[in-house]
Amino acid sequence: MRRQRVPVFAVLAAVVLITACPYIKPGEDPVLVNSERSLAVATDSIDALFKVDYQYGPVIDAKVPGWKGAVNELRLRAPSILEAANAAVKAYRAGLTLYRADPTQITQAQLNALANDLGTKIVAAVEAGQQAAKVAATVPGGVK
Amino acid sequence: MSTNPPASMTDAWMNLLLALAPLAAGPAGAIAGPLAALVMALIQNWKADAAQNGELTPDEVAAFDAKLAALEASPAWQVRT
Repeated sequence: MRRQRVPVFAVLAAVVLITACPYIKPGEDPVLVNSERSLAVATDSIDALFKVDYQYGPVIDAKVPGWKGAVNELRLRAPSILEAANAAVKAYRAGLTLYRADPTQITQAQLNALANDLGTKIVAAVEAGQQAAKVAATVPGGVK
Repeated sequence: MSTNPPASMTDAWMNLLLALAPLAAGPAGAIAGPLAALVMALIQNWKADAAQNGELTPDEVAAFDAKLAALEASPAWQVRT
């Protein structure tokens, strides 16, 4: 069985290497790019947990006490967190578009306020994504 | 703000998938196919996320909105009874 694990490990290790070196194109707004990227990663992490539970939940329930409750708790919290983060991305993008078109239409302070709100909500989304990974790590043999 | 999936997050998923892999040899052998598909989907999603190096276009924004709405409505995102 261990020999069968090697290809999966190798492929996933490649993913780690691939994701370790992103860059941002010149002229792009790093706050916006980082936020969009982080929201996508968080969403995919949460989705992965939910799909694992959807497919294997009854099997995992028998091995991990509290698994189902932890996943369901995230199912209740995650949508509103992700929606709030997505809305904050949109608000910041709109402010940035306005600022780029005509800096007199929105003050730097107003843009900063949008960025701060965005940061708070993206952090919440990332934390939800990390929570999904922590729940995943509770499976026996799945924690190092 | 981190732009990468934290290594610990990736490790956690990798470990979960590896932990589930032996089940393919047991009574739950039918999960082998779906598990492989899930691994590939994870890899493709993370590669796509990591490849983003610029601001999303309006079409990409709309696509993410649609994706999020579809996920939230999907059976996997509903509370499991």
